[in-house]
Amino acid sequence: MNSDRLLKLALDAGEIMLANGAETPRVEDTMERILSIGGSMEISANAMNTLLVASIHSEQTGSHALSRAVRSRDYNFEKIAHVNSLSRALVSGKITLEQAEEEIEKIHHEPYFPLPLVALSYGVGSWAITLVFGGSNWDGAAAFFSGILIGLMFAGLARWKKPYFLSSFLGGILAGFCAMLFYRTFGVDVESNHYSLATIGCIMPLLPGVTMTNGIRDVLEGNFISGSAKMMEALLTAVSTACGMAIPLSIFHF
Amino acid sequence: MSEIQYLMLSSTLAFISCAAYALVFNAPRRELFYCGLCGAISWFFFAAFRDCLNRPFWGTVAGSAAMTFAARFFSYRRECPSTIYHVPGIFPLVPGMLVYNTVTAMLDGDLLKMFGYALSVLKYSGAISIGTILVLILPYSVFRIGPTVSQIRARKQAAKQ
Repeated sequence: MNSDRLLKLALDAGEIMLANGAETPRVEDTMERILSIGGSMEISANAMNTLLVASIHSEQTGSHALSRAVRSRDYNFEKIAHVNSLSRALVSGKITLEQAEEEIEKIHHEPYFPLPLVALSYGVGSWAITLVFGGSNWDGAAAFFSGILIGLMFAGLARWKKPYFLSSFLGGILAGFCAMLFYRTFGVDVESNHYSLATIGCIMPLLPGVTMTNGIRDVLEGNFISGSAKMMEALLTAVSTACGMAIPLSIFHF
Repeated sequence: MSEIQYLMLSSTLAFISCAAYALVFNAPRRELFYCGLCGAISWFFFAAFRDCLNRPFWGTVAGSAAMTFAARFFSYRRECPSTIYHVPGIFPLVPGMLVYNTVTAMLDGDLLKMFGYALSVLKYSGAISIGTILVLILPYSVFRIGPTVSQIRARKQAAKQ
């Protein structure tokens, strides 16, 4: 078994998973599973927030190691699920190494849902969660309206390289502005409705609930580097969302 | 509206919202229903603890624990990574209102209030983690209840032949 190709495949798989929102233990698991089909005993795979390292050692070929930096951060569950099932199929011998390499290349260019559908479902999600939190019908309508706009921005930005806090910052700004615009345009009574709920409903997916949870989990498991890095990332994302929300609030309220 | 009716209605809405948000994160089409189910479960437990027992903190813990249990069960049953169900399921528990209050307190210039709200945000996100970890320390064999999807499919094919 060619260990160079194996290493490259493991890193490709790990990169897709890490860049699309999988937690680090899962990435390490998948990479080790792929490396294990080489038959070598001494394999190791390490995943941190932005770094992947894989090494393989055997008597015949000597030691090999490869590392890669992973910068982009997004959520794309379909890719995670595909790489996961791909690694399982590879280990159980259902597909060969060549087929797996082709599959990985295909997963890289997998299509997203169409943009209008994503925007619409973002609007529907914001509408529903605003009502869950106890908003009135007007709040729900405002959340739906601004949710569609944020969804468009979100789906548009997902295809570009960007700083990790940009989408939450812009999302915070858009949520506040659109909700207030909606209330002003339709002459909704701001006092009896809850402007805050309409804003919160839209920014819910931008708040780093999962990153925070994973960070605390990593720290408790003893992975201090990736844990503290994740908590830092969660903190900065939350602060940037809050800063984004503060801009329209300070214009309209104070 | 009675309490039970409110719980049912809001859980249904939480289901819709989490399924829709899962679609935004490009979840596989077949798993959208289960993503929504996780959101409904977490909101149901949170709302039940908050309204009936007046314990929002323990509601967050119970909601995230129940949701993680469901997510890991679905991950066994549907043969998908549990992250797919876990991320949308957390949305109803995220303390968004407290983040908003922190911002307004900051703009008011009331630093004492702002720090209070910011610490409660940390407290509630800690509650989510505690609930998650309580279930994650269970061994995976606990969740192997019933057959998986591929086993069911294989059985159906065998029955045909």
